[in-house]
Amino acid sequence: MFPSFRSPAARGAAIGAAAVALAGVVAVIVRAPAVHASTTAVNIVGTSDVSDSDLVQSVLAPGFAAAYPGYHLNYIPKGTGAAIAYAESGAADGLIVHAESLENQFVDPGNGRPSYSYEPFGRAIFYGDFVLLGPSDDPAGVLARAPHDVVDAFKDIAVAGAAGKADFVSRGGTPGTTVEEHQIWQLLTGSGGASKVDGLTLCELSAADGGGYSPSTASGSCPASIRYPSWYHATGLNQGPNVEAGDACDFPNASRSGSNDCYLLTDRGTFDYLESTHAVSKLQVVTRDNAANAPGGSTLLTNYFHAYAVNPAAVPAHSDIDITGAEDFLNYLTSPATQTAVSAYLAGTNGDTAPFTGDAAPLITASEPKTPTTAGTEQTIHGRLVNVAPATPPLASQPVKLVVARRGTTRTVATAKTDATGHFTLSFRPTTSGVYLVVTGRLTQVENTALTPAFADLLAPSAKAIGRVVVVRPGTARSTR
Amino acid sequence: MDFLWSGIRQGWHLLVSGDPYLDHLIVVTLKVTAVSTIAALVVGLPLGLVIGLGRFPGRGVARALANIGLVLPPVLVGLVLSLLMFPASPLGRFHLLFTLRGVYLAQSVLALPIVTALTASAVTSLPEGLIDQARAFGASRTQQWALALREARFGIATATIAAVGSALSEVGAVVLVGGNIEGSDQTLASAALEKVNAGQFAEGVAIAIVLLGLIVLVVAALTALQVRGARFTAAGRSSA
Repeated sequence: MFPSFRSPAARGAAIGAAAVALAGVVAVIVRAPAVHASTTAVNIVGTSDVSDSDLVQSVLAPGFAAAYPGYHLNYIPKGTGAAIAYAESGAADGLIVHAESLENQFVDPGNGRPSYSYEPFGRAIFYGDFVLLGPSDDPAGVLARAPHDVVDAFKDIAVAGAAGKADFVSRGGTPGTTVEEHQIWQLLTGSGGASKVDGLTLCELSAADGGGYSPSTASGSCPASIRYPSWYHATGLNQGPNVEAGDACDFPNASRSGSNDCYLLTDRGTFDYLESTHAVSKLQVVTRDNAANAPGGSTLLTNYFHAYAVNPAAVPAHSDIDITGAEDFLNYLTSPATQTAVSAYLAGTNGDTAPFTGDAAPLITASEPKTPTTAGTEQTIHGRLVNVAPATPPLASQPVKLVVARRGTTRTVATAKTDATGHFTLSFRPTTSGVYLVVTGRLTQVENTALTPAFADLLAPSAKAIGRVVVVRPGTARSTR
Repeated sequence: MDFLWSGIRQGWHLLVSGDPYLDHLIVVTLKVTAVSTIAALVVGLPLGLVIGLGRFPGRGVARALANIGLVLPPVLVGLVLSLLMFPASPLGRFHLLFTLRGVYLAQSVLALPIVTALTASAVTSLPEGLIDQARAFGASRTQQWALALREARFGIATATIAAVGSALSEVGAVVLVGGNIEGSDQTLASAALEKVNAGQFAEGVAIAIVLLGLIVLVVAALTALQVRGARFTAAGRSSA
């Protein structure tokens, strides 16, 4: 078999080499320290959007390890629906998802069962946006007719699909992107859930599956296994691979028309990233930034991400949830430094804005205080509290405080509540020189009352320095400090 | 083709630059291979001997089961094991899900039938009468089995190589049980899968090429030892 091994010297050399190679392997195994030997893993299961766009690998994992040296992040990518199922089984400490119509049931499972969320609600962490992708020759004519009207675009694709000129590539199941698609298809239904488009039949999904409607061969409630029309494909893939499936577009209906005709919805972070690595070549954005006057309004394509710590009391015994680690991770996510890093990630790729924008804490705008001023003279600060996440309800009836920071300590000098539009007025009589700040604590904000139960989230504390005030005593010379 | 070329270049660069990410992947892959192969040998060799040489009712069924295990779908093994590892499930208390220990277990379960079935096959195909002769000369049961193992060593080495190969290249069960966590229980094969999923084709190719190199190295070394073992005793016997 090995003729050259017949000479004793060659055989000896070969045996020696083999033994050295195996000894090397053993040495590598025995000697190599585990990379995370001294740190504790925080297991976060969540949407593949944030890992397929490389946000976890390039920002969150290294950032968390640096900010909390006792921990390292284990991110387990799944679709949103699957991630919630894993979290509810106690398999992870925390959760990052983006489907409010599934998250509300995670927070309130009903039937008197405890919330799976350790905190009263999930934390707002960042938002992105969904974009509709299509081939460059655009057989459904979406780019020309509906660049900012995704509902109309879906209608065009369904009509072209029925005519054998287009395919729609969905991930299928209950990832956040598919849940979003179901909300868009729903806007093509009229009274009683009937489709308003000729040749398009829609079935209704249960609330447990995130609600909404899906193309189907039969109307009514969707069965467990939906029968899709020939132009609609459920791939079962993660976000990135699904985009690649649409780019390759190897579907029977597509080959029948003899050209690339696949359309799909994805998050812009994944698309920007795939385009930056040249992993997609044929797809382009055909619809984005839904117009305010289009069905669904300007927020229809907004993709809100939330993070949860899993409630140890709600999951099965033996789950061993590391609640401290999960809370530390959430605190890291919502910290100003992380929020800035997330908002900077991939900014400028393809000449586009950043795909993710941190929205953990509300934005405070306020008028500047008058300075210098005589001690005890009343003055008023006017300002507004705004949720960074677009087109969310105004931050009404939320408490705000005015504090003065001096020599490392802070003291509250005035409190107020925001009005129905988030405006506030803080009146105070300054007695101390120092830096004045408007601050908010952790806020609970109801974001979506259309869902049952209503969807709410937590906003991180925020602070805005409005200026240094120099207080002078009445009748004395003006202080220099 | 661009991805393939840049993947090959990147793979080479990763190797020579001593990238810690790649080092970790190689270490995890070798650990999974070593642990699962040793576990499968410890349990599978006796099982294979019993099935191959034993005289007991149901021996045919046992052999068939081992052969079925040889082609168990890794996805099925991974799914069942991961469901068993959920906190509320029987194995939940051991905290194996999404850990390297869980991956060890899953890969051992996959390797066990490989070693068992191939060992059984190797000892069955020994020259007829060899074991009977040994028994006639008064060899104890243990001595008979030791003889069978020694005479069938070539086939048993093949079984070992098959178990090693399975561990080096497995993804289905590793991903389901381990969660494919970068820096924790990600192996070369599952890392290549993840890179492709994220559209990093060149990185995927780079890692796959490193994996291929590792397979060639390890299997060539094992093959050399296998051949040496066969020759060594052949020579020893003729001189006796």
